[in-house]
Amino acid sequence: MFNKSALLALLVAVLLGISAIGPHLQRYVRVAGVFRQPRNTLVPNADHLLYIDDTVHCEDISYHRESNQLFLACEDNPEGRFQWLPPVALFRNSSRAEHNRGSIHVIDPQVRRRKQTPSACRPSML
Amino acid sequence: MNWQTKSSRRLEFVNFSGPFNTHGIDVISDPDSTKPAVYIFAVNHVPDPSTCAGSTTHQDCVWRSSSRVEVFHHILGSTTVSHVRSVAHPLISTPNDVLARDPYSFYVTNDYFYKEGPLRQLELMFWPARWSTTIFVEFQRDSPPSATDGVTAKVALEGLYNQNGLSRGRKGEIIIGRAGAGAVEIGHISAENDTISVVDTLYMDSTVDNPSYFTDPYADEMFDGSGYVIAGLARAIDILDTTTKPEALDGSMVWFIPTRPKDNRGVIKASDVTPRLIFEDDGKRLRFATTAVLVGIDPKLEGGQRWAWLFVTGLYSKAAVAVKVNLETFV
Repeated sequence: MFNKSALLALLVAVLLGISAIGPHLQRYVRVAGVFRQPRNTLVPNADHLLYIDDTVHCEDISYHRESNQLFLACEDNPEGRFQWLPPVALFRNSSRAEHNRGSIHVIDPQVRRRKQTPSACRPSML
Repeated sequence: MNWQTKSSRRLEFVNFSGPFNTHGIDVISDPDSTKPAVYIFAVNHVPDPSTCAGSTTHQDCVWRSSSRVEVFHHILGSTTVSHVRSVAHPLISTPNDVLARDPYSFYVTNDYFYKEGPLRQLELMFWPARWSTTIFVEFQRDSPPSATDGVTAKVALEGLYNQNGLSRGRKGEIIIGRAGAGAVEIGHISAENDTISVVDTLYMDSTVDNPSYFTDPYADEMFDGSGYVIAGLARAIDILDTTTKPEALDGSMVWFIPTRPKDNRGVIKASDVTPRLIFEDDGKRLRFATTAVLVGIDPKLEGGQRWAWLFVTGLYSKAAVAVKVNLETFV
């Protein structure tokens, strides 16, 4: 049915196709992190990594330079997003979302305080 | 064990009872207020009962969203935030992030064309699906009877895959994070018709989300730490599984692209600079980073060294974190 010339042409076309999309496939795999093992930045000084109180599931921050304040939009509810979240097309149960009241938070970058907790220590680095 | 925390202040709503299912946010100064004040623009995914007509319970039918943008006003230093109005329009379909232009207008990204279903799954994974848009919206300030009254909108940018985060870049720039593509578009806004034209593209080796730009307030002739700050996921491939699991870990990567690197003090093309990895985490300290912002620290407080606080937060993070970074390491 196919002579040698036609088969050769088909093979060349396939190889050319693979070579054309190869770089795109490589980038796709790299961006998706398919073969990546997540790592941790070492922060040996405990004063150099702080947790911000009352900032649960805050997707975005806006820095207002004129007042040197950070504004965050926070969900506050640590469970709701795993039941109903349109940005990831998740629609399992909308009852909590109907009454959810997220919030807007303000952070002054210069303010800090020390806090002691009875729960397990959270290491500042791994 | 002691660990330090920074405090956040929660603002009390005035004239707003919700629901408020949050996403992107932007803040601009109020140019007309006698007291220092800001306008706050925030995306709100509002469950819509009309999407389940005839149903009486959430178990019978899961409501879908009629997403919109809320506009608030806040007197700086006060404890309250007052609702000005809701803004909705048919072109605001799958809003992700918002960028205010002035108190009466903003840009908003629609990160996908399809809201759910097999075509949404295809759009999520298939880079040639260039169906996302950035919309320019103008609205009247007066309190309207409905969210759509007095609102006009038009497409400002289209033909790109997965437009997601919006921010201001260097002077005159608007920057758009294209999440799944791991790319940040640098654009200019037309003064004639408010559309956006892309002039440069930055590529990261991870997904990206809400980019930001750090303008170093302590820049001098010797050192300028200004640059783009971009948060993303270490293993985006996992989100197909983790978005329904409160206990899952989604690792994060934060990139920094200096725009005044030490080896080139002139104005540069940002895409010529290799992105630096400024912070990464396996998800135990910070899950699913979506935004990172740098705030400079006065060098006089640091013995002349150039440090900054890197604030990172995420869609599923239990708390935002602040990491102290030495900019001299990354510029």
